Amino acid sequence: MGYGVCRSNCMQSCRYAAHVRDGKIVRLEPAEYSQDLYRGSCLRGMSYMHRIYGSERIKYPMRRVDGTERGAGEWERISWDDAISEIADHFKETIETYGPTAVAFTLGTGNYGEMHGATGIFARLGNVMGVTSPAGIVDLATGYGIDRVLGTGLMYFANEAKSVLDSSHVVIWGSNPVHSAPQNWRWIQHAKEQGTQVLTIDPIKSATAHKSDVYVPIKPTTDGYLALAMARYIVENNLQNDDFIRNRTTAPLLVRRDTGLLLRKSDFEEVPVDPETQEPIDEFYVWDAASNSAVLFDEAVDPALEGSFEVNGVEVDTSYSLLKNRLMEYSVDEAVTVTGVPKETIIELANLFANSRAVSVNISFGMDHYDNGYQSCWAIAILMALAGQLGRDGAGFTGIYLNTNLSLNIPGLWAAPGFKGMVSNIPWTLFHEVVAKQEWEGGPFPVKAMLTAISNPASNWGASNGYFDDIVPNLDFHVVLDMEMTDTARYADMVLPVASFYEVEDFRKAHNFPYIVHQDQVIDPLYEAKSDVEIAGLIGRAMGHEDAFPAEYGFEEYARMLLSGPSVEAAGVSLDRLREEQYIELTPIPGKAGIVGRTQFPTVTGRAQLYTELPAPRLIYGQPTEERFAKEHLVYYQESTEVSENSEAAKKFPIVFIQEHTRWRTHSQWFNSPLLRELDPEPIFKISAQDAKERGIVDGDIVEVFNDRGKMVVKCVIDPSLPTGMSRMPKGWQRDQFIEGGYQELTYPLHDEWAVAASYSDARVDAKRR
Amino acid sequence: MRYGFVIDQNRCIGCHTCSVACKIENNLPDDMWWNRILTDGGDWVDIPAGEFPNSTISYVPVNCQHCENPACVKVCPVGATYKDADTGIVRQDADKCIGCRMCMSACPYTGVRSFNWEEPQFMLSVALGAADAPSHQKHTVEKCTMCWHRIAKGEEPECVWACPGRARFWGDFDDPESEVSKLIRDKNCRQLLADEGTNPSVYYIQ
Amino acid sequence: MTNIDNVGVIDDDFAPAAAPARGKAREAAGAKVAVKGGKGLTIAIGVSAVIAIIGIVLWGMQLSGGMVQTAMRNLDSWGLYITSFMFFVGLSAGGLIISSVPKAFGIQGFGGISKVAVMTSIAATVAAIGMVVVDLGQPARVWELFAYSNLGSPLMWDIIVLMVYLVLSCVYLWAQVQHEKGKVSAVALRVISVIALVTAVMVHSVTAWIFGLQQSHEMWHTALLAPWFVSSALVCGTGLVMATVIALRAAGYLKLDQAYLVKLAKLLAVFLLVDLYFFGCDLLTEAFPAGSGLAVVDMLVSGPLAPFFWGEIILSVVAVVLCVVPQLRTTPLLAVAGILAIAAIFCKRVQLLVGGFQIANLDYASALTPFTVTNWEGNLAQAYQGMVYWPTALEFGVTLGVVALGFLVFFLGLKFLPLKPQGQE
Repeated sequence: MGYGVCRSNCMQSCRYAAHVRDGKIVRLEPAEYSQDLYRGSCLRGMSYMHRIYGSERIKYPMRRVDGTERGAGEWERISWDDAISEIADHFKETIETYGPTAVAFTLGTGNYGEMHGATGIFARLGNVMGVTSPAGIVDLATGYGIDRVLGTGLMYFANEAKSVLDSSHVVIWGSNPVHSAPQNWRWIQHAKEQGTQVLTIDPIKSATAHKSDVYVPIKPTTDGYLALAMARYIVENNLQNDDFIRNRTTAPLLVRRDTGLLLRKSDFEEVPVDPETQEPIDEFYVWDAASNSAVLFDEAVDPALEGSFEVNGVEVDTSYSLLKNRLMEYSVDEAVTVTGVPKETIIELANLFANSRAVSVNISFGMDHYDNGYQSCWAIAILMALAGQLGRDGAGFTGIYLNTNLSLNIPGLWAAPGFKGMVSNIPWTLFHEVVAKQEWEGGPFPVKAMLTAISNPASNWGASNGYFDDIVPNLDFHVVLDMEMTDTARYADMVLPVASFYEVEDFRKAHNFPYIVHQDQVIDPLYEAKSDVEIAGLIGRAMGHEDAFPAEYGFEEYARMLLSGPSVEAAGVSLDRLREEQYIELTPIPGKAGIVGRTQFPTVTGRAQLYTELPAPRLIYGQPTEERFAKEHLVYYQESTEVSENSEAAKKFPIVFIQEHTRWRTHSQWFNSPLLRELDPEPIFKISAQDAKERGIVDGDIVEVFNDRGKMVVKCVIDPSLPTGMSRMPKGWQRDQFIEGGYQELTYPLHDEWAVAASYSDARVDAKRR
Repeated sequence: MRYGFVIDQNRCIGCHTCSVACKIENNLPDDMWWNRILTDGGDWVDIPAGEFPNSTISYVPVNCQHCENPACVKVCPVGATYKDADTGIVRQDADKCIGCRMCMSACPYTGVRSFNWEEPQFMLSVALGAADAPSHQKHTVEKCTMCWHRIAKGEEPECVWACPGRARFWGDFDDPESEVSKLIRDKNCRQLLADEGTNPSVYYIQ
Repeated sequence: MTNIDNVGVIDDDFAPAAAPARGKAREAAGAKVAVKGGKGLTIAIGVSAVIAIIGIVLWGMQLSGGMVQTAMRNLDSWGLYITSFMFFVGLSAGGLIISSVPKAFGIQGFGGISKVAVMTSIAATVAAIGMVVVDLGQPARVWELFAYSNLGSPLMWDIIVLMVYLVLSCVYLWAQVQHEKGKVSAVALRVISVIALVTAVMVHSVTAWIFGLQQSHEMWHTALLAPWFVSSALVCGTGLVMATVIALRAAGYLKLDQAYLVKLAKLLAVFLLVDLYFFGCDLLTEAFPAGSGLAVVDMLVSGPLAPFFWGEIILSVVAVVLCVVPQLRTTPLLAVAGILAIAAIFCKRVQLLVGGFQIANLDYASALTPFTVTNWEGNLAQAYQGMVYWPTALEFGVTLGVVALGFLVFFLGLKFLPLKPQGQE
């Protein structure tokens, strides 16, 4: 028997007790946490044995048979020695001819182990080799939008899951925790039983909406408008939380009309430089109503929240005034048209945010997957700031909690002898063009060889034809590490069998839980599978990087690198302690839920920002930024690209197409679990009753779903959860599971230039009977 | 004693974790599920009934109801299915079963019993679950044992421990102080097909 | 229509869909030869034996390869075998009742066909028992029925009563033969006939209770089921005796005055009307409250089982007309009437058995596996759209084998027992 933690990308972290009999795992049972309601499990985690022992598992290194097409499915078994030397030969040749960046590493989130995950051992290898690693682009708009207000970066915007027990209301906005985060839903359900009111705002009557007290249907991708109209209603009717605005936001900070920047001490005099950070110690001016003059913020007796002033000839407005002006562009009446939400409902919701004791907005990546995703999330954050629903027990965002109490020493792992660094500013969404043209940033940029680990890009490539048409034919060599023959593995030149979660030692700084959790190596790797640590070492040494990957190094040596440094020491975390105790609690304040901004927000001022002084794209890759810079200071609403009913696409393709997360898979993982396929045997496209009727489609028909990008042929079910004009289908199916085509052919391939996040669901389709 | 379950349908999210837990713990053959999650809604799993936005859906986890007055026990010609007097658990003796399927027909709770229509097949070569999990025999009837082998060791049934929604409770209805007894006293509970007069030992909180 | 064809039609009726044309022809040929003497009968015996053996081989395949080869599944766990079991129990009745009623009540009989009639009962009982055996998953454990009998189980009651019935039928036949030889007194024969009659009624009632005592199937759960089974048994039993004696008369095996046939026909008409009356009562009782029973009536009248429902009604009505209109009471048409009556009751059995599984108590959507329900590759609603169950070829084959076994017993009886009316040997 051993213990472990599920490390799939559902953003929850259930512990399991792995029972072993005759050297084999025969049972995975949920294992305890110190707080019982964090003990979790799901059908995927419990049936992980079916992935370990299933007949679909990749058993040996295999090479595509010479002379066969990529994807033809003809493989020959090779030895590890041959595999490694072949990989090294390909990589060396590529590097000699084209330079190290002609080798690409595509690493994803198939494993949240700190060592076997995306920032773990393969990142060390990539940095030593100096390869190209396309920038992650998935699930980042939510955090990017909220960051404008809370300064929480891309992933640290949420309170701990259990904080909802302190909420008077939980507003589930565009997420579906009942299916996609049941371990979080458990807390919401318990809060509900204590009297917390649960509301869901969603275009689809999701499983969560069905479980909620109130369901508010909304036109897809108009959430931002709704939030702004509510915010306007709140300020117009003087319902805002003045204390919060005064004490916790940047409301009084003065914005220069000439530059759009905040009025600072350095605008008028020299400021000292912090000897440690080398950053100027600059202070902000506010307008002091008591003295009727501009004074430094610290010195103000009564900082004016609103107003326009002149300071030494510089015209300025308070941040709050600018925000209020911006909000005047949005109205409840117009919101009724844009969002389809009735006026009374909008007003009720606005009052709820303004007057409730503590509102938690459960948000995840539902709104994220559209070109306007970050504006939607930004708008909601602004709404919450005005209503004062942030930074205290039960108030704030929930959904994706990452612990801020402990920082692992990732630089320590990456900074290996011979460190070169990776080229990592090419968004995935553009990477297929780079490979097709062998160009980047206006110059030649050869990409000839690729290594894929911890991910299944072929299956997760928006408009996947870009992957199959542009990447696959233009690579000289592609090696894939996986346990199963994913779409990506099928089209590779070589596949390497990797060890499963329970065949390696690892640890996980848990998502949504206040713990760091250990994974025992419960069994030896099956067949010829090897751990990523071992494979990276073999490749590293074959490439000549013996210093970075000494033969005697194993998990333990690398783990001690990660588990070093002041943050780890301060938290008292060590590998020995993890091995001994299995999990270590990292709760910031014992007995209290982790709350973002409990004392201050991680912004320059420590305050929630109503005005963004220096907006910047999430990722700079050469896109034009000047034009939008001025616009990005203040929250605004932008229509989505395809889903918006006013879009060009809407004229041609009447049905919005969402790829939902269901309980049957985590992204594409468990796609071929024989156990789960008994329960969920085939892809199903779900359509609204009216859309089905108009197309003569009846329940259970085989339909072709299509748009300009591609198609899929699939079984169709009529789903009353859907309003007319919307469709959905569970994601994660591989192409050979469809009758023809695949769902990912249909998805939206581009990104917004500022959020630089994949907008898969900003897609429209039509359907017809087959 | 009268062991039984209380299942909170408000908490149940239809995630099938208990089904999977049961299947693994008891090393059930392929295509067999003792504990099934029924969708009370439309015609498909997870599809609600009604019209947008007023659609409705809930889940009914159904395993053997371990009736106090079991229809199956009466009709079995050889006593292969019987009620354990000490626990109230309705048991099924695979070694005795003649495969007449009278019990399957007599049980009002559609589908809680499964027949091994062939030599049991297993998708994995590894025998899963508890070492003392029940064996499975071709051409015999089987069903939920209430995890007899676990109860014998003082553990609760696997489905209860596995439920991520904490929707499943297990205990002794004859003990007025047990959690399940309190739940059926305090909550709005129903039994499935109460009209059938079987008095199931599974209660559903609505 | 020739007389010989009638024999063939009887066969056809026993196994409606699967009887291969060649086998039928062979059967008919066998009967034809029998007209001329023992050789034909011997061939008929041989053919029946061969088909029975093929059936046993198929049964062996079913046992080794698994009952997954049948169409039965968890939600429709009984099929053609139990349908045929019900049917043969019904067929077994008529002969014995026709034979025993006159003796039991001391009234005029049906012209010496008593022994042949009992022989049909014996053959049908053997077939009925065979049907139960082939339906068992673990036939090797049949001994447990006697070792661990649960006397509370209606199935156990039925097994006991069927055994008694088989033995009693044999005893009764033996007693008649002995009586004709003067070795058994009329009083003793009358006592035996009374006991046989009571057992016959019991056998049908108990078979009905296997179904009727299950509260889980609304369609079955009615007190009317037992008397209705008796009436249905009378219908098909009488039909069988009628068709058989016409065939045997045509084949020259026995002589029978037409008046007896007419008497049988009138009796058949009465039984048919009683059976239809029961049916009407049941339908009204189900439908009138417009509750869940209405679903049962809908399923029969206009749902997936409508062909069998209307089949039964139409066949019964035509049979009644043939039996009551004097101008239509020609020998061939009377034979047809007998066969139609048998077919009508078979339709009834299909309705009962398949219909019982057609409406699930818990019909919520769930994940379906190949073991859940016959038509599992969709959802439950789709599985129930047509008939939830339809047999596989293997089931038809095994059933045919059991039917052949029944024929074999009957033919053996004809060959080796003095079944001709007294004085016709």
